[in-house]
Amino acid sequence: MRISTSMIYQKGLQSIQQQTADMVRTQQQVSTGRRILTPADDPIAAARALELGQSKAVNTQFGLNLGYADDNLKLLESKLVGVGDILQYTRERAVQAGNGAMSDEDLRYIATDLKSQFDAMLSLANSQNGQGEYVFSGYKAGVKPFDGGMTGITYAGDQGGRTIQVSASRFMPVSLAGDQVFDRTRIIDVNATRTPTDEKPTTNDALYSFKGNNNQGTGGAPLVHFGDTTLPPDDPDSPRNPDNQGRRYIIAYRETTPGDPATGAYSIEEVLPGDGGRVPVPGAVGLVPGTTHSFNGIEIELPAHVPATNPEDPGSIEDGDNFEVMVASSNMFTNYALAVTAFDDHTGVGPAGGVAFALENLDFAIENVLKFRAQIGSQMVETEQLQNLGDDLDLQYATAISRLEDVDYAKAITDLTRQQTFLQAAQQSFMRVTGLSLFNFLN
Amino acid sequence: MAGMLNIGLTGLNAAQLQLNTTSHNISNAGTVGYSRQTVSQTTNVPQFSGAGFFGQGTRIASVTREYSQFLENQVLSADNRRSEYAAYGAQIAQINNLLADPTVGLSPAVQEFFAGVQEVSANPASVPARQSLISAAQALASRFNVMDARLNEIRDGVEGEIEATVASINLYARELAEINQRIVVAQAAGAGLPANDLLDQRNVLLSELNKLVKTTAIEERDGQLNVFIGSGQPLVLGQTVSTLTTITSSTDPTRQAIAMQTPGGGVVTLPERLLTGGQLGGLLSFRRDSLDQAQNQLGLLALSLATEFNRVHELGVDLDNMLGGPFFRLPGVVTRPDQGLTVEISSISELTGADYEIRETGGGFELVNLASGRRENLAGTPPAIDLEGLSITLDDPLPAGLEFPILIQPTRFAARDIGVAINDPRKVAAGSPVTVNTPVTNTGTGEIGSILVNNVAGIASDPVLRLPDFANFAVEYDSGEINVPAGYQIERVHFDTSSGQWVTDTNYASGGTATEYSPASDSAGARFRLTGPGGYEFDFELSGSPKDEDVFRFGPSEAGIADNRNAARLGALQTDKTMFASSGGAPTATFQSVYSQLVSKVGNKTREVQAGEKAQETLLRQASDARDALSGVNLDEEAANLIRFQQAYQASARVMSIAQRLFDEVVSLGR
Repeated sequence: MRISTSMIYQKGLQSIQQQTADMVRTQQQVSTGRRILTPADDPIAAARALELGQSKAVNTQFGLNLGYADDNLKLLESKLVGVGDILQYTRERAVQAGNGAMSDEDLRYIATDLKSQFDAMLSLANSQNGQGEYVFSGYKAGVKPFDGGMTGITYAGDQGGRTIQVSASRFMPVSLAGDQVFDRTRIIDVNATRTPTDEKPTTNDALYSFKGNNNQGTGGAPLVHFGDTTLPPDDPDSPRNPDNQGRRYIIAYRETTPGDPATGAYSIEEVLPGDGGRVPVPGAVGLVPGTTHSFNGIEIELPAHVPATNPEDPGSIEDGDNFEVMVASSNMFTNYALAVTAFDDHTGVGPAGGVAFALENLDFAIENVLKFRAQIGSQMVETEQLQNLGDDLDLQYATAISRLEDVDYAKAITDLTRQQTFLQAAQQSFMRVTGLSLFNFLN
Repeated sequence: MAGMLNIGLTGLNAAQLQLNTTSHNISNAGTVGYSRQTVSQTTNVPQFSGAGFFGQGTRIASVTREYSQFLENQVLSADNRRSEYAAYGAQIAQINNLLADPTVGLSPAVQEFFAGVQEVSANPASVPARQSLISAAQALASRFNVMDARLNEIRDGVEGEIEATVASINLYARELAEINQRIVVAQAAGAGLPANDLLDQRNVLLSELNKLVKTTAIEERDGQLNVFIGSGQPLVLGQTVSTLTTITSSTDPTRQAIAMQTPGGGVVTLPERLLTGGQLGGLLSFRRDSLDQAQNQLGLLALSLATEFNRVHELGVDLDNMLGGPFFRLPGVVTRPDQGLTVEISSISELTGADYEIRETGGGFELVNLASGRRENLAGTPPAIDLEGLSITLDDPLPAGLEFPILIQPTRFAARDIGVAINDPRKVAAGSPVTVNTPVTNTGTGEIGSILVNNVAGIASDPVLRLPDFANFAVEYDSGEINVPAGYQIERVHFDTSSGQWVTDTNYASGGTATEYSPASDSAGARFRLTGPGGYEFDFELSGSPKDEDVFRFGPSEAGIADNRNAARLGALQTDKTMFASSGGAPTATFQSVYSQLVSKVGNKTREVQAGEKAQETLLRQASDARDALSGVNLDEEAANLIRFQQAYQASARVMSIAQRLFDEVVSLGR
């Protein structure tokens, strides 16, 4: 084949340029540490690396969210532990109060102690987190959830629960509404019935009836039912109306002429929680024994007066006898206040009623708190597992991206050395070949 | 003697001309497009004498250049394709670098934005978290704007290059016509012998023109060259030149089209598909295939993200308990006022990002997807169509003087126009307008959760204040049925995997006032859809075991600053599939996977073009080598020729001096 002179120069130059371009590219790879300088270098790997990068970033975000969730859960846990501790302490004190050897003054000390425990529990329920938001207010985090004191508690928050997305499909609840923990410690089901016993002569678990410690008569406590359960909850006479729950009544039997049963009548007073003030129930004066009186959603069968000498009588009623009826509430604070007031106000009935009421309802409250602690505990286990999983995934993503994008330094440096050698060879051979010409020999 | 002197003279002349040509070759060894010339000698007419024919020396027959039209054509066609790839590759490399850069690409901005949303979801009451979300959103919007502006810069560059290329084509055409004239004159004067150097120069002009656009050249008998481009449009006919110009395209005023001026003075637009090859073809196909697509896809992403985010944002309430407004500012599809139609987006998941045209067809109108070629007719009065996520309605009556086809670019300008519509952190709608209250008087364990609002029509009575104030109402469970008050509708829904939506359950009648919930089988959770008076609608999930007469009260949210339900929903948009619906209607792609597809498409195209360019370069080199093997000058060969013809000259001079001596001999005879 015939070679033209320009072909010799062009070919030599082209190969030198090609070698130079390759060498410069390898040098760029080495200096940036990336095998893929632009997506065109390896479109498949570049697209894959982009997607992996996005997945890695989403994974990191979920890791952050897990941290937030964990913080919230830990805060809830610590508050619930505090509440549980107070309830447990109260229970022990209640058992102590039930000891018959306690004097009035001892009972008053216990009552004072428990009153300050009530305040402590209230302040736990109103606690705030690091940003000043109330923990137990549901969605209304700027509003103090529980307002009031021993005389009555209102809940100003709502029932909202916050969730945080901790994985593509899992939204983890990270808050508890105050009324879940404190307001629903027990379900008051007015339709449930039970067989009345001597210790608890009521037809429903939420009703309590006790006879006074200082009673002269031998008769037992009156039988108590719920009233008309078909009434809707907003009816003032409905047993389902929350206003009719969480109340304590003293039923007193007095004979205007002591010793004359014909002059005996019952009167019913309500004991207000907190200060222990007594308020007569409207229309509950001069009630005839043996009748049933309905008021505020409950019915009380007032024990009939029977002479002490009647052997068939289960018990007798004497002038000055007192009985105590309590209606439990689903609200922990209300039940607590009722129990503490009962300890404080023992002149009429004695602490036995308050103690029995307190023990049963404190158990409900403790169980409710434990239920939530268990739920939070298992969620915290879940966050830890998700955190571990997320860390593993992060490592996998990083490894995969590095495998796709990063340059293999050993290979790149070897290539660089090789290309340098080739370039030098090309340059030197070019000089040799172009130096050969017949004109050198023409004189 | 006289004969010998003459013969020597002819030899001398011939050798001298040979030496001339050889030195011409040597001095033009580096000239571009030069074909080496060779001289062919032939004998003079012999003289007849009685003893035979006596030769009369030599003469030069012709000077020819070593040239093969076939080899030259191969070089031209390889060069033409190479420069097409080179032009395409240079442009697309700019987009390639723009999209995938890990710091200035779109991915980091989208991730930062959604990180901001998650921050608000975790701390909905925190004003700084909301402010950082707004800042991240502004960064995202401006990243879209910047990328679109850069693509527009590339577009302006391409338009400028197209104009410059057309100007160059015109320049070469004029020079070709001029050289045609000189060749005709030279060859007419020279008795039809080829004007070698002029022909070489013309070849150079033709190969330069060929780099710009694909040409077909036909040589006439008188030596003139006619050049045609496209599908046979004449560029140069002998000495007449047709001028190419760039005019504003009739369908899209933002781009240039190529047109040719006819001799009559009119202007005829040349369809782009005819102008292939060369730099012009490369630029035109880049603009049509890659640049338009990239800008459309980017706009599609911006449009979908903004529209979907706005839709969910408007279903929530902000810190002041007002219904959320639009979060992103995105004007609708841009149409010129005189185009006589309105375009709306009816479904994000069905958008394809292609451009469309409305064309007239016998009696009606049809919509054509320019990328896939799909055609559908418009129907109704006024003519309208809902296709691929677009709802198009023509004006009734159509404006006078309306020209068809009308170009519709639904997503082209979205990335340019996207912005953030709110700057008050309190206006971020993180909460949900509906809350549920389970009264403590309920005796069962039924719970309502996962409230998802679908429609807020009628939720707020005052359209200016937009405070949700719909009436509280109660949903009651009784004996296995869910009851709602009159005026409300409730129906059970289930998840349909083929369409990706929650749809009403066919087993349960819709409307009316009752639907079933069985605590035995549904206690893990059953979903219901409730529609209220005024049109608002939301889904909720009932789980647990409610007892008879348990009620659940729904009402508007009040002052719930820690309510993050809508923020959680907004955050889930990052991983939800919302785009590119399959045939069943279920979306198949998330926002980030759409962006990955775009990057991958551009990267693949760049690679393809780069590979094509390398292949064509190799072909070009091979063709050039073949041509140079014939036409190129080899200096060693010319050096050998110099020696040869120098000796021939010396020999002929020697012949002449011998002839002179013979003459002297004859003259000295007489003394």
